[in-house]
Amino acid sequence: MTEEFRDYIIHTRKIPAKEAVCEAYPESLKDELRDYLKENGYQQLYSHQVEMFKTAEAGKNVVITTSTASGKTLAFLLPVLQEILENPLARAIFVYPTKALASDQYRALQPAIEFFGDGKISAGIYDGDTKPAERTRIRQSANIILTNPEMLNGAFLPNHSNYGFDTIFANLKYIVIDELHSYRGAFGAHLSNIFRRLHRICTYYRSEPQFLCSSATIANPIELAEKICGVPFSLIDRNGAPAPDKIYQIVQPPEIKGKNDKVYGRIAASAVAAKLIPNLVAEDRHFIAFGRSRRNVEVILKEARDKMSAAGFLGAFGRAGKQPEELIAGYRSGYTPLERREIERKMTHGELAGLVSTNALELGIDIGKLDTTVIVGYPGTRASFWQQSGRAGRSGVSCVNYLLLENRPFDQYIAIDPEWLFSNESENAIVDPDNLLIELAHLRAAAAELPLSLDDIALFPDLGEMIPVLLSAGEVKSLGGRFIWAGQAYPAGDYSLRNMDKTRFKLLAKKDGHEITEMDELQAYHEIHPGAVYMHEGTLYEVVKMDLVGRTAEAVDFDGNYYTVPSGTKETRILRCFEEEEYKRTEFHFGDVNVNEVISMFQKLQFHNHQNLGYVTLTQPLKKDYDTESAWITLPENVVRAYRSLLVPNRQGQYILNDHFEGMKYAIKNASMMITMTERDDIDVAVSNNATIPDDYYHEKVSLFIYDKYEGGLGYSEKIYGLVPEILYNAIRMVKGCPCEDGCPACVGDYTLDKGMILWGLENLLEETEAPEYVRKNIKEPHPAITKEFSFFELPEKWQSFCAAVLKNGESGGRFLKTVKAVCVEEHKLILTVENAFYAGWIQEAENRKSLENILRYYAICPGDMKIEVILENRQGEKEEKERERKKARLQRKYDEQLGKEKTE
Amino acid sequence: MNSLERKRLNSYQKEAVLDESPACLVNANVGSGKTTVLTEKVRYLHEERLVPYEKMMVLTFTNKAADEIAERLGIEKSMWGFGTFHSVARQLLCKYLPEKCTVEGTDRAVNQNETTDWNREFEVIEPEEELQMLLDLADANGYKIKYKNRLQARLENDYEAYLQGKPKGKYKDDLFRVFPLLDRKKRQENKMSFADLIREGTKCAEEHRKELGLQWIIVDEVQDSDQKQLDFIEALKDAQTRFFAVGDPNQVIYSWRGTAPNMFFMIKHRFEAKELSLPVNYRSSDVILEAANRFLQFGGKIEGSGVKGDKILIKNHYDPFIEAEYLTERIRKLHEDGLPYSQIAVFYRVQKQAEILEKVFERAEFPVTFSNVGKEGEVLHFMTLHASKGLEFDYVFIVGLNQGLIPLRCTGMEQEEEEMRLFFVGLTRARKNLELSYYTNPTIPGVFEAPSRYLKRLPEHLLDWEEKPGSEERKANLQSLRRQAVETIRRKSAEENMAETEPVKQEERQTETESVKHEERHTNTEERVVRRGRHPKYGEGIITSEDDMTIEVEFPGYGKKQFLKAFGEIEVL
Repeated sequence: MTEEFRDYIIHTRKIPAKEAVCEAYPESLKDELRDYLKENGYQQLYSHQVEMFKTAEAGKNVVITTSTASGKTLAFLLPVLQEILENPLARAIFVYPTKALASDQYRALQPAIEFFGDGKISAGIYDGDTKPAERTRIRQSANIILTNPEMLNGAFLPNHSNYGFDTIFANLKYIVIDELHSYRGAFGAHLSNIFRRLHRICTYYRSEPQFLCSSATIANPIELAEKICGVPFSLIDRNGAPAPDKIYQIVQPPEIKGKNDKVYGRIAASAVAAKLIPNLVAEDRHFIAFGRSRRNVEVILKEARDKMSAAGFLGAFGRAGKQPEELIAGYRSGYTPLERREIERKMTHGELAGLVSTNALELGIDIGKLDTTVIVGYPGTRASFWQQSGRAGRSGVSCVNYLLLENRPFDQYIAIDPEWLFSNESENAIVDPDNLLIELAHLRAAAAELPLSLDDIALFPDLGEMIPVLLSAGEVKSLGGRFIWAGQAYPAGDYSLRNMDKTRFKLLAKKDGHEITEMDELQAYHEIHPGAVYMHEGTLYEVVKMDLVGRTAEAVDFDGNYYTVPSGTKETRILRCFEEEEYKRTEFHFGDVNVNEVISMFQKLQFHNHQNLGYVTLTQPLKKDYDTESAWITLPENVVRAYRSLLVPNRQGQYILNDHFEGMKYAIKNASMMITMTERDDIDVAVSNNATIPDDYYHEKVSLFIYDKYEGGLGYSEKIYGLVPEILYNAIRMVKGCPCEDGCPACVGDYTLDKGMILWGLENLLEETEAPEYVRKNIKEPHPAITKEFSFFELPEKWQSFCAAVLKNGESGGRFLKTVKAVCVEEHKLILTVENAFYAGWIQEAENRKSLENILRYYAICPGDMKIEVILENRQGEKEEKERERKKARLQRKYDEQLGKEKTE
Repeated sequence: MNSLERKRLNSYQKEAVLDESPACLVNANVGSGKTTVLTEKVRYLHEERLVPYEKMMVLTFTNKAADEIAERLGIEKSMWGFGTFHSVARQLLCKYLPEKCTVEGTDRAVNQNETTDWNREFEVIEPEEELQMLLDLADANGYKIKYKNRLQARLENDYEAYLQGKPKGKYKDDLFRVFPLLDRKKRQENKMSFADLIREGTKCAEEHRKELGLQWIIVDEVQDSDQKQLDFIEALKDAQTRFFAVGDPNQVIYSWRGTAPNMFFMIKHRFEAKELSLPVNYRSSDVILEAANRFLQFGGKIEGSGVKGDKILIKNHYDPFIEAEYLTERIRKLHEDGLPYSQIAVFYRVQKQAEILEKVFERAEFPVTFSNVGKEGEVLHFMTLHASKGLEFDYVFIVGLNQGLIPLRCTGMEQEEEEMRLFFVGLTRARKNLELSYYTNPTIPGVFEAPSRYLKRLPEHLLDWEEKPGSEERKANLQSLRRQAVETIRRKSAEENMAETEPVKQEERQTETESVKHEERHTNTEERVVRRGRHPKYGEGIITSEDDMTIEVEFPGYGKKQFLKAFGEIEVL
């Protein structure tokens, strides 16, 4: 750990180790199971394992919330094994949110299966990757079936009468749901409706399975379990497992400051992670770093590898001669199962020192002994934070968890009040099984599985309203008091469980046509638009073509020094208003809106310094629009007038800078998320497009929209509509209560905005007051900051140390700088002399010149009108010139000879 | 002729019964009284022409047919010369093969060479046993046999070829070396396969033709004969023997078992037979016959007996399971309406389809039999189209009219034609009602979602489509459906609120509309009977329209509202 890094730690918390609480085997436990436990070294069981066994044995449905490494697998397994040993026909379905987790847990089941032998207990993974012969075997004989919600929805339920699925349903004794907390929002509503369908099918086959669930710590585990499974639950939350010392370090990345305290921004958490990771490798730690997005993971991975290469190159780093690729790996959705298995294997066997992952690994996959986690940016919920940090310390040795704060509101709020993070409250998991769209989607699927009867209203509460709609659409028909499906084949395939968007795009390598990855439409518009740099396990591709009809994109290998971030606009228009209410100086509305997102350009960002290399406009803007539900608030005229007057035009003359509407959006979104416990991807906030028209255009109302980020809406906005006053008061309280002086990312999203002005705007929704005087920002930050070490004018004399600093950071431009023979400064012009003609040509390209300029500006304070000139050293140049001349002459001779021959013939 | 008149035969049938040409072939349309003609012919010959039963041979294709003839004639079931080809061949062999040799006996076989041969106490073995015998012999002698999963078919074809003197087969294995061993073994163990029965029976008939001195050979379902059976008939037939056969070239559905599709015409040629016909169908309604005519390959139209009958119902079902659920419901209703279970049958193309039907009907506790034999009496019949041949029911369901199932995917024109004949057989089993169905989601590998092209071949005016496929894309939009549901819910809650908060206005409106209604009703009392209904929330209203699922009521103050009858919200007054 470098000194430098230690300065950034703003809070340390240690949670002391905890002793195990053990109990004897439950009395009724079968002898065979006792033998199995003894043979595997379980002389006693943890108290929660015993409690689980007894509660399950009593016929109850159980949800267990003990921590990540508490032996939950065994807790589930004991009652299930007991049942199978008593009744060899018994079946249990284990549901996992990801394929990766199912295969991980299948490995964890192996000792038990081997112990009892295939004749007594057999198990298998039934997912999209399972081969037909294995599927048949599982359907016919597996007692324990590991699968996922998609399979239940798309294979098990629609085919219940076929292929032997009926035997499974008829003998279904247990349904085990691991990682229950991951079924929230839309995904949870889907699963809940899948179980409604399953209850119908089980009733038909006269079985009544019991549910065993595990969940991370959330505020409402019983409520969530009951909503998802549709049956009453008992809770087990006393953890009998021991825990090691746990140390939590909160890291605030420094600001970047110029000589005169001018702030150039704050170092991104991912950049800090890229620096921290090589240190962890060097210290022989085993770790996971969690990035917030797929792109984030790839950027951290590439930059950390670059830094390790650079360090290796400089001799400061080395570990048994291994390449960075052999020491750290990425792990996220979009990798093939094969790639993932290999990474899991290497991690388990200690071949890799660490992983950079999205939250895929948050979900309980065992990857061996870890002693460190690095959480790059607050993951949005405490539940996720505890899940991610809970990955370390499995082996019983003390562990360290870093939370690297981003320059974002939640993160910065934690910097101000770390207690908030460590307080015992955890979030509610929101799930709405009666979400109309989802309920309807599954009611259609249910109708195709088994005729609907009026009794089904107990499962589908809106049946009475939905059946007439389906009847008039010709999708169901009546049959002796029941309703049978008359629509198209496979209604269970009409929706997707994790994202309402069913359209998938494939990214193909141009050279051999192999599929690099696939993703949904919106993701594709963001990640694989033409010109995008797509990163896959540290490999870079540049997208050269996107086919919107064939839904494919083509990419070529790329070795440039930047990645891309798309940008565009979003428009919201009201389709219809269902409910409205006046409140003080505003009106709340609830209704349908159309959200139109247009990706029209992308930004090229240089690796390591994350500076902008410029915007590129897409020849064909990518549009994705959808209808959704929204709660909107009209803004009082005095607020609109005041905010408009503050707008500043950008270089293109658009009045989009200094936009205080943005600050208001920020505050209201935060308050909405806090109150409804939604995640950042569940809802979004927008202001009417006419808000930023600068003239006196006041005929139309300006509104602030809070809408569901799902096609058709998922019910969040409806909830928000009922809570608007509470949200407004909370937004005011959060902005007012923020300890910052005059606006920060935590309260208003952008420290260049005037906090007083935003607070005034929020308060004016309730009561009219005089606008405060606008404060031009003059920011003073108390946090540590790094100062740029170099100045433009000193560069000639400090050139060597400048190059060293750049190289150490792993910047790829470093290769060029090394070839520079001489440096001089003439006024605001930096003149670099090189020997190699290639580099003289290289720098002529605008992009490369821009990239070099970025490096210079990032490490040194440079004049605004800085120019770079590259001179090719003469001696070298002359030599090459002569050589070229010689070649030319030779060619000419040959040509003449040839010509001569032809003539004589 | 008295007895014939009593039987009320039509002129065609009479002509056939009385015909005494040396060879006569009756081209009998489906349902035209073929069995009646056959039975009456035998009765006539026996009673009027005084032909003793032992001078006749009556050959049928199934035991069931043989039994039925015996029953109608009031004779013993296993009487000499009456039965299937196999049973008659067996009778011959039992009579004419040597007797079993005793240990100290002087049987010539034992004496002349050390091998034994079949004697009259032989045992008939099933194909599986013969196959096992062959495999055991191959094993014991170290012979290699390939393509074991198709061995049954190879045994059937190649064994005959071997006996005809063919030295080897087209596959490179030792099958033909095992054949002599198999032949010897069967003889040693005194066991005969079905093929052996016919072959040895034919030899035996040739030897004893004179002795038998048959006056008549009468054959049922002659279109289903194969070459060997024809040889058998020929062997039995002496110069004075008359040959009489009935058959229907449109019902050849066993060519995969060795029947030539044009067997009917080959027979006519071989025996130089006179051809008679039975054109009138007494079984099915005209609608069914007109439909069946579209699948007729030989001869003119089938004539009906003038009962028009109901249209053919065409149903679309989501998948076989949902259909099975539907069938339980439908059949329960038919039964309640007085149709005995025994008059209802469900036909399917492949045996595999029986599985789901069986599960669902067993769960629903219906009396069911899954094949044409088995339980008699008050039971529903489920069977393949092949098994349905020769049977008839009032109400017939043919399920799975999807491309790739009915018809199955065909490899050639012959198969194509046979699929059509098979469907023809199925159609013509129905007396009164026929219900055909296709699946949206067939769930059977190789079967397409598209409805069968046979449905298009049926004349439109005979069909009652529940809904036409493909007329419009029923691509439902989830969001728009949801929208409609949301609207329903919102309207309901708004109406509830209104009902609570604005009782006065409601009353006003009520009297307003009431008066309008009054006038309207006044002018129309003659033509219309006004029916009224009551809703718990909207109160009393007038029923404006009604079908089997919905009921529409106009309420004063609320206007017209539609309700699902199933929910029972409307009480009809």
